[in-house]
Amino acid sequence: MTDTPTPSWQEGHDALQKLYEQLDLAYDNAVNMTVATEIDHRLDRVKDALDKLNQQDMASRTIALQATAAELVKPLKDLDALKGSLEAIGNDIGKAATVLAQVDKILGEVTTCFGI
Amino acid sequence: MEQRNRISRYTLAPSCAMAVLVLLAGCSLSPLARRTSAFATAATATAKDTTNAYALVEQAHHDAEIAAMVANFDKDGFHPETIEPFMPAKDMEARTRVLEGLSRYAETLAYVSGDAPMNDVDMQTTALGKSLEDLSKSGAVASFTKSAGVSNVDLNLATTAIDALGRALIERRRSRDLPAILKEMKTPIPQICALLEADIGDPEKSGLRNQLKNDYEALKRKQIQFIRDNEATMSAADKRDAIEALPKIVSAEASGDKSLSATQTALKQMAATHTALVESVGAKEAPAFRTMLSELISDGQQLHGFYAQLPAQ
Repeated sequence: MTDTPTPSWQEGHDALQKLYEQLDLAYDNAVNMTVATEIDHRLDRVKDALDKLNQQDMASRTIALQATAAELVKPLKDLDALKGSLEAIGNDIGKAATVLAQVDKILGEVTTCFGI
Repeated sequence: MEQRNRISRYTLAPSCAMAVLVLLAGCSLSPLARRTSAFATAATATAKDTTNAYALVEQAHHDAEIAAMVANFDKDGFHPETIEPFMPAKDMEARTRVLEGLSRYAETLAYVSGDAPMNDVDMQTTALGKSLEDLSKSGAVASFTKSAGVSNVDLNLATTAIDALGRALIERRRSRDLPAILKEMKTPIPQICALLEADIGDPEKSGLRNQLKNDYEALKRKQIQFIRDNEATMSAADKRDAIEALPKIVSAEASGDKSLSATQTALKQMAATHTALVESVGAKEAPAFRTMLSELISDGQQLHGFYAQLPAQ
């Protein structure tokens, strides 16, 4: 007795997709309402199976996507640090301007107070 | 006389330093920063439009589920629990995180490598210049600045020097840190793009494109079923409206698939352009990068055009 090889995901999907297309064509061409309704029900079931296969396919990449998301953490942290240090250069100059403005204000008050 | 000479000596040395700094600032935007900035702008748009690809398929799936519920209502009744998103929450969350990471990378890269930090320095230096000028005019200090021979020209020179220094510091920091960050992303970016491309798949074989095709076929079939079930009691105008909806479904399917296909192309181009960008680190000219970038920009514009034409979800 020979073992029948299990079809791959793609082979299973291809077979169901072909069936879906054929049934859909048959539905479009059906002139009898009862036949059309019967085909419609079968099509719903085939589509449900195709939806599930497509969901499986998506899920098969989820772990790899989670792993790459984890790989982004360090470079993004380094990039944020670089952004912070570039912003700090502008901020430091801004602080100097603020300090000078304060000095100006204090000097103004001192000169007014002592009449110098 | 001796005091004048001393002042000249004191003012000459800083003037030379200022001239050097101004020269440094003149060539402050490095070729790598310029390339990175151009890439980041194009990549930001592609990352955002890739998010739209998932939303597009979810909307079509939802519409197909509602159409099936309406068609089967008389037989099955109302069961809202049967209406489920195509992508289970756990799988969608992983994609959302990756796309958010990609967007954040592109957006932060755009800031870091673009003109914004330089503009910030310019703005703050202008404020500093004004403060210096105000201070030099203020009562008590004015007499000192006058006796020291500090003129408005000197103040302007000092402000220009600080601006140049700030710009030089930014460029130094960028040229030191940016290549390492780009290299860290050399492997993850093509990996992410390949996984997202595989997610989009093929209309006949797999992925979002296949799901979109099947959902639109279901939507079209349910619309036909609705017409068949109700045509005996429909007015001529209602029947016309119901039939007119059919070509709209077919056209929406075609536009949706074009958008998904364009997303795949843009992702492929983004991966290739990023690799070319990393490989151009240290190079003054990067013709390969420039070619890939112009393709990425063109793909991105086409992609954005497709999503902009789709009906609002």
